[in-house]
Amino acid sequence: MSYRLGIDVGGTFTDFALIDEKKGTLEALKIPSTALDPSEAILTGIKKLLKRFAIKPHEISYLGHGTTVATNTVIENKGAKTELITTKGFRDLLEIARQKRPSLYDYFADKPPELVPRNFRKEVTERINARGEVITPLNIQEIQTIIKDLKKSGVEAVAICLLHSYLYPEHERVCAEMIRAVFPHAFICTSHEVLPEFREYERMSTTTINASLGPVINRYIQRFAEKIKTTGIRVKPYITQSSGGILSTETARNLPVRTVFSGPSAGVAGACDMCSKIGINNFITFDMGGTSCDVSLVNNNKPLLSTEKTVGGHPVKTPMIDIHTIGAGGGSIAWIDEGGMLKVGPRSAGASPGPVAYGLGGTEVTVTDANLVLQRLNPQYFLGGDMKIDSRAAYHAIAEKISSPLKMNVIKGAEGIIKIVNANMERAIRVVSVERGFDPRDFILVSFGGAGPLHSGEISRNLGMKKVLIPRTPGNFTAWGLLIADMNMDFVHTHLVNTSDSHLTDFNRIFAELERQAVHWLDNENIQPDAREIFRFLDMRYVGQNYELPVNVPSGAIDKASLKYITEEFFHAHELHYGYCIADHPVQAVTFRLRAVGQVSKNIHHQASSRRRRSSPLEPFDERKVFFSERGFLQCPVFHREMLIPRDHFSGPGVVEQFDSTILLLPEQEATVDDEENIVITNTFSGG
Amino acid sequence: MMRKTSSSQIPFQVVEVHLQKNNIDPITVEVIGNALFSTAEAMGATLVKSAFSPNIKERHDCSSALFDKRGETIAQAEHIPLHLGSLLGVVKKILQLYPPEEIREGDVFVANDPYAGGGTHLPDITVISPFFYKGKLAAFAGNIAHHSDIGGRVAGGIAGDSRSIFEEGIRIPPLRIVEKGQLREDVLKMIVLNCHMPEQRQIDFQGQFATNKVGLCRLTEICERYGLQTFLSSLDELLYYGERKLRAGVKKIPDGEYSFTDYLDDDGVSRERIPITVTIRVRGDDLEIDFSGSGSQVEGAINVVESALFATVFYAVKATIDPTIPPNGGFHRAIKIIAPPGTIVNPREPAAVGARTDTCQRICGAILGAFAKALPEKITAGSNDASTAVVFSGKNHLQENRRYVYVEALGGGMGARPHKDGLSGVQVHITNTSNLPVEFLETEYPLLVECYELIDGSGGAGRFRGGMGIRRSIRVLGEEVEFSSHGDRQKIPPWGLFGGKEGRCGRFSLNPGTPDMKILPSKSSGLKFVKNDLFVAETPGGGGYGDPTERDPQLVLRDYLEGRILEDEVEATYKVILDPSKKKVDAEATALKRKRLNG
Repeated sequence: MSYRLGIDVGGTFTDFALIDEKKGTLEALKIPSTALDPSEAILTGIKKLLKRFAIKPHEISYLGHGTTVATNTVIENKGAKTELITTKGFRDLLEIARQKRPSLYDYFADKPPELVPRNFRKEVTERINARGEVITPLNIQEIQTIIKDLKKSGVEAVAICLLHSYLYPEHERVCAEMIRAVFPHAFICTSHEVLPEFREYERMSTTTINASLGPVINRYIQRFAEKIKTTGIRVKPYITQSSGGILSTETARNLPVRTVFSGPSAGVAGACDMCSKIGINNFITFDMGGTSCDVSLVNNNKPLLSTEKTVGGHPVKTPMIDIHTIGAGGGSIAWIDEGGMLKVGPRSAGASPGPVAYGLGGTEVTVTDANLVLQRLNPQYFLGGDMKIDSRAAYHAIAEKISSPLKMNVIKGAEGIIKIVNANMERAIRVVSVERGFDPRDFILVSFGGAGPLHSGEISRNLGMKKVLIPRTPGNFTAWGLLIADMNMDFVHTHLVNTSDSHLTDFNRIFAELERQAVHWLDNENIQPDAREIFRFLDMRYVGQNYELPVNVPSGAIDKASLKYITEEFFHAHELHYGYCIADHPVQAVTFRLRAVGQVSKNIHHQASSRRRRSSPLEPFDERKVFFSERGFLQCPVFHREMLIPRDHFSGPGVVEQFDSTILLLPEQEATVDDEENIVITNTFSGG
Repeated sequence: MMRKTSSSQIPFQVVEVHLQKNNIDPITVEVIGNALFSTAEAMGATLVKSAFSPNIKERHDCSSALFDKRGETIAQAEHIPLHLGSLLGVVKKILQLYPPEEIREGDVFVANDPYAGGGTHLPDITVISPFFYKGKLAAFAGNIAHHSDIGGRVAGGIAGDSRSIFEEGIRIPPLRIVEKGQLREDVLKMIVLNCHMPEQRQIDFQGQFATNKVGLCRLTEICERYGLQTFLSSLDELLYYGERKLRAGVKKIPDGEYSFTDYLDDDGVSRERIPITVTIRVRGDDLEIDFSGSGSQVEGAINVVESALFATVFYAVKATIDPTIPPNGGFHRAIKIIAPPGTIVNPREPAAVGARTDTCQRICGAILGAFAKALPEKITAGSNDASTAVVFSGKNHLQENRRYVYVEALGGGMGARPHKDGLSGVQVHITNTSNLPVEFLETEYPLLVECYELIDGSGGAGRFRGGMGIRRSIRVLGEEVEFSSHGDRQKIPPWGLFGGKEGRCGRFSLNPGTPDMKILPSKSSGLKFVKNDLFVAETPGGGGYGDPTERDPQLVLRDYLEGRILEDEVEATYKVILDPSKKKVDAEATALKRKRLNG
């Protein structure tokens, strides 16, 4: 027997997903996270799972781990004590950033906390110009002085970021070697290794975050691996990264910055895998939990990638899934502002004190309270009935805080809360679709997270989306995504070159070098030749612009024909994103990118098609009145998810309850269960 | 197996709901408001992406907005507060010139003239599209972009020493550039022919047109979903909402009259300082802002036309009273603005306006100074109230002698705040553009940036310290460069509050530390730099808040160790004594010294 285990540590819950590799059966577990030492909840969960299913530790053949340690470390400014070394005249770049202030109108908003205090940002005399030529040689003596000071400072990590090092890394390399020789145990990283791309501030920020995370993540992984060992599990764990794949712990230790946005990425990777299995290639993921809502767009079964995200206000330019996050979740707080307008979020009551109805001391009305008043949520079946819920308290809170000031009845107030939080989330979906040149109506909404399926019905209808897909365990979907992710690694090189025939050798030389690095990495990770894949991209722009678009590059040597093809791809991309292109304006390649993929989950039956078939007709196990906009309270059948089997079909209105989520089916919506036990909800729109 | 839960026992009474059709409720307004704001944002994103020139794309010097059919601003994507000025009056002006029955679906209007309506200075070009729903004019969508060159005497169009608007570039009164979907090539050609880089202008215009199209599509969707009547009622209600929010804030200010005068260094032509006087009168929830007493309009290019003044006042009021007031036309109804004609804050044609940002910044500062008396906890000390803009133009010998124009506006120190230090190296108030990355700049232009840093000791001392100014040094690598600039706060420093000290002044210099060193004027044009010249821009630091001797000695020590304050400030200004290692505060000696001072 062998099993794959996924563990996703979230702010409120630690989720587990376990798959029997042969049978394909899936088990899930949710236990409260232990914030002080996350490994505590992890150990408890593993022991529980092993015991419950009588699994021997050595039968665990794969362990995937998603963690927010890196994210939280940056957001809470708890990175290791770090020193920055940069070119003379530029130490304040880290603080000046792009010179924009944090809030346009709020005098009291602050810049993100400094990653490195000013007296730990050291300068060294040296200069490379924009053509990669040394115009001032590296001053070795100054580095020796810096090293002398370092000894006394208690610094654990050093980030080295010199101007134009992406063109000429030698100066950074010498700096790093000199420091390493004296401080073999310090975490030292250089910008040309972390992110060999131009634009100095973003590179500096990314490199510095990588350095400050280094010691923290190394300690975390060390402790995690040791604890796992005590359970008897023998496999080496993998860690999720922001681009949706997984990393070996060795890579994660050197490049911890790549895990900074890993939290929601496994869910997207899981959705990609699930959808490809059932032939869906274009979809938008909608992951709504207690505090936040993460949305992302997947086109041709490839998630859109972004390199423009910030964490805790600091830019991180490693490739990551383009996930747009807003403060909208079950715990989001509803309030009335000075102008008398109802607002929802971004503040959240979280799990503690939580919604009013939890009775844990929460006094502010939340989205969950509104869902209870509208009877969309069943107070008797919260977390499978484990949690006591006081709907009456929710009702009174909405009456007092929302409905009475707005001079409307309580139901209308609760409905308003849902409408507004839905509008906020619709706006987020527009950001990842319309603003990227896609029409949401051409996409399927894949809905998960504890609160997702409760809201996705209305959101999909409002956006004109035809279908919603809800996986078998929406509340544990991210942990499940950990089981099927592949390893991947991105290699980049900035080199500005026009797309004219005369530069063909440049293109081939640079991609060959990137491929050499990729093969080296694949070898190190022991990826077998038949499990390897390589994808190439170019970030391109019109000459004179300072904004690039990624374009796919076909495999094989680049010749005249493929260069023409690439250029035309750029025109297409430009047309798609910006609505126009200029065919006779010179085009420039800026950043060469290569992604190496190692398929670790190949040939594994991770979710067998269900063979369960129904012998008697589907019947609801209960009925209740549920509120629907423009309809009022309607009597609805209530199903348990376990009751549903493939090919079941029912029409809205209706409710499906399961231990990790609640699914709301609107009037005029149809639900069917597919062979993978996903629920597919179909909207019918009049006139088409 | 399944247990029946008794859902009939609902813990509260179900209230049946009567749906109110065509009766606008706050929830629908919020949802439609959200959709409109998201539309403006989507337009802004389109503009940044579809524009060609780095000034729009990289520095985000652009904005987008929606208007109701009377021309009131309904929603603005907030990039640059001052742009609201251009947007405020432009649609109303179009409606004056072109009666609604002459406006047709598919039309697009263009404008940039501060006097004819549609701009606050010439490089900001506004593009407006009427929105029709089922054949009826229902709203407008528009955007504004700062074109890095619009012709004129000096490339860039913002030289501080221009003496009339005719020197500053091509003037475009509101006119139809697209007629029923058909681009008027002749008009476009006429405009771009007047610019130094016609090709870039043409592509930027295309981006601006595409941006409005995005807005129109989305407006159609909103109307389809909610119906035209609900849409129109929501627009009205959003304006009232803006007014209510503002009045709610004004009501909290003690009634009274609060005055303040601040000064601009000079106008770039004469050497006289220029007063900006503001008197704020609060009565209940009415707010009056009176600029009587401000200097006469000046010869140099720092005059502020009415629309720019309104945008500036709105910024300062919103930021001080309640940053969440929506930037829409509703606030007009709650603020009365008095600006005597012929003054620097309401000049007569053809006064030059290209460098009006410096004056707008000073107006904000003056408003804050006046509010300080009523709302000492809600304002900051004097900030880097200047725009410090520099323009380099020439030919790039490394790129086939292609012509280039490099524009940069530098941030500086923000004034200290009631409970916090001011931010360092930021743009304040009505501008908020980002810098150009050094590695990009050096790749594109024959220039080398030798330093980009905060200036030690530039923040004004205080219980809370002013933010630090910026030093940016640029070496000329090509044979020759033409330089123009506008800046201020180079003679009269940002003020401190409640005992806080002044921030350091800014300065432009050439080849400092060499025998050829020259201090350059803050407002200039057509200066020629030659190969290897080093231009150094230093921007002002913010003023301090509160008495420096009340500053936490540990913060003084930190500032000293981090090199943010100068060594002699520690004892002389802050009255803090360090122990001999200079790494710790001598608490006893400090307490004694401070006590003696107060005793």
